[in-house]
Amino acid sequence: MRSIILTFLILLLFFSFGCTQKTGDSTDYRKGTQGIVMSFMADMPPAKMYDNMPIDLVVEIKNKGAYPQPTGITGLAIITTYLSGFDDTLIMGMPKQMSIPNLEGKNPYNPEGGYDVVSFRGNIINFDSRNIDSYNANFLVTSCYNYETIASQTVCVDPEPYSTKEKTKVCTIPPSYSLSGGQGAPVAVTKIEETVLSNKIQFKIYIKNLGDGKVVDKSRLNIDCPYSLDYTNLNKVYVSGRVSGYSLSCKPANPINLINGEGSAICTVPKPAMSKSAYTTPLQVKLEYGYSSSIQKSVEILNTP
Amino acid sequence: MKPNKIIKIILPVTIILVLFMPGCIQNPFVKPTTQDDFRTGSQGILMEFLANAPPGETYEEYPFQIGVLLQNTGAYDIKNGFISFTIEEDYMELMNQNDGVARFSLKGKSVALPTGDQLVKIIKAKTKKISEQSEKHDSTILASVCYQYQTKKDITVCIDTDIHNLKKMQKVCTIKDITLTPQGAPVAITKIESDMLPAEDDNLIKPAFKIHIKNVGNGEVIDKSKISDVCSSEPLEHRELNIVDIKVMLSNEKLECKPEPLKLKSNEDEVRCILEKGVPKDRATYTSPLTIELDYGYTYSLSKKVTIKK
Repeated sequence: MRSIILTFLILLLFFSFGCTQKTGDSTDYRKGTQGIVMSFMADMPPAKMYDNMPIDLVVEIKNKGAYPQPTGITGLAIITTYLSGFDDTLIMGMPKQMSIPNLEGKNPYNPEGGYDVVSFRGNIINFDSRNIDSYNANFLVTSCYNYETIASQTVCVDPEPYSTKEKTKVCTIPPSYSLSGGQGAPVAVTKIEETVLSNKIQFKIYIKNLGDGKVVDKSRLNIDCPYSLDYTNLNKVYVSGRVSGYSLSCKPANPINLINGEGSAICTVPKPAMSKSAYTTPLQVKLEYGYSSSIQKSVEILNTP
Repeated sequence: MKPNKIIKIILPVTIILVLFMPGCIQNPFVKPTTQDDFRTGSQGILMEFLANAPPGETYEEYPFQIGVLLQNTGAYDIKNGFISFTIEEDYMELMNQNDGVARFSLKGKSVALPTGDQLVKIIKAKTKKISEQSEKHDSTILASVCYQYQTKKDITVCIDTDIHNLKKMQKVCTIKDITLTPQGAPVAITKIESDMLPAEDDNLIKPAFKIHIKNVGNGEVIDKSKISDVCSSEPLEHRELNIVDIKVMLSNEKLECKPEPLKLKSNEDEVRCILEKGVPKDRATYTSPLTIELDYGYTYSLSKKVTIKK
């Protein structure tokens, strides 16, 4: 009797695996608040080194956001990394900047997003020639790149929301649409408020920098980032979008300014003339911007005893 | 308890111990020793009389030995130091008159010689006859060392090219005052204040440092070119006391320091050094080594009372 029960249990255990739902394919790649994420490769460089030897600084770069998509419809995320923070008369020959032409974002075929590595190689001079015992080198790697956020929200278009006529409506306009968790990019649409005016429909789009970097004016990215960033070229986002076949007309004019990492734009579309009843339709908002973030590592370099 | 049961208890405990113990053992390669590790303490030469040389009590017309132990407890090699012995010539005499002043060299602390070098200097002397009316006489023997020494410190400082934070780039460091402990020498750098000054050229900033210096040893700072005079009892002028030569480098650039040389007042003072050439403002904030070298002469004396009995 015991052996029958045991065999039955083993069989049950084997077959139960087949009943588990596979979740991998259903991952929403347009989720999260990260874009390009950098990290130093372990022990590249180590925390302590000696003089008179080569030094390798290896940075892993991952695109944890959803831009660009491999379809080619969207643009390219050109990432430039800049190296600074150390005395270049002691560590010589290190390149000051390196670029990655394009790194695809998360997509159904690559749910982890693109991955690349940049390597900065230099030589630490002989400290005896400078009469130096030790030097604490700081390596700051700053990335500057262009990025896009695509936020999609199904909205209710009701041309006559205040009508007193009794009609069965497929949807009603809520006080606001909340978009939590980001859209696979460091800058996110967090909320949309819809208002129906006499001849147009207005969407107030709330935007927030949810990443750990700085938003840079995309038109100044190659000129000012990262060494000349100031209030004139920071916190600028270009907003555009479409709903029901209409392009959004937004105010203030692009680029809009983020204050303390937050901003909003009021966008309108004409009220649909043909339809009198409410219907649902996707509102797609596109945010374009430059983005910059940094990572830092300290290395104590000792004079060889 | 049965032996099997004991094994059952001891074995798991031993395995756990073996697993966790390596975490407690310090890895000897984690912190390599460098010359900077020996730049500690506030003494250069440490001097002491040997036991009973000279003796506390002796008799008239009696030979005795004067012995001193010299140890270089600092981190600089002395190449041409002097040791001199001064006695009351009415009551004592040196057996060899040339023993009054002697030269010495002593290596300082280093990776190869972690304790610093030491030497023993012994000379022979003899008491003279004391006065007829006295039963005893207290006489003092003075030993003095004079040597040239160097204090060296290199420290990583912050060169902030954007002092008003107009640029919104992350900085690897911020400017701050640095307080230091003595650097294995009798004259110490006690504090470094950093500042980034505006330059005539608006595209540059001038890194400036106020360096506080103090005599932390138990002797006197003298002009490094006068060390032989001090130990040979040559008269020393006031202007030759408390003189410190200063050399400050920021990476490979020599800074202009004022006053140079520095004359310590009340055993301490400060010097201001500036990189007149400036640093371009369009460069990102960075760290750079500031190397300070102080060169000076130093003298230190020690005395011992000897009672001469009839």
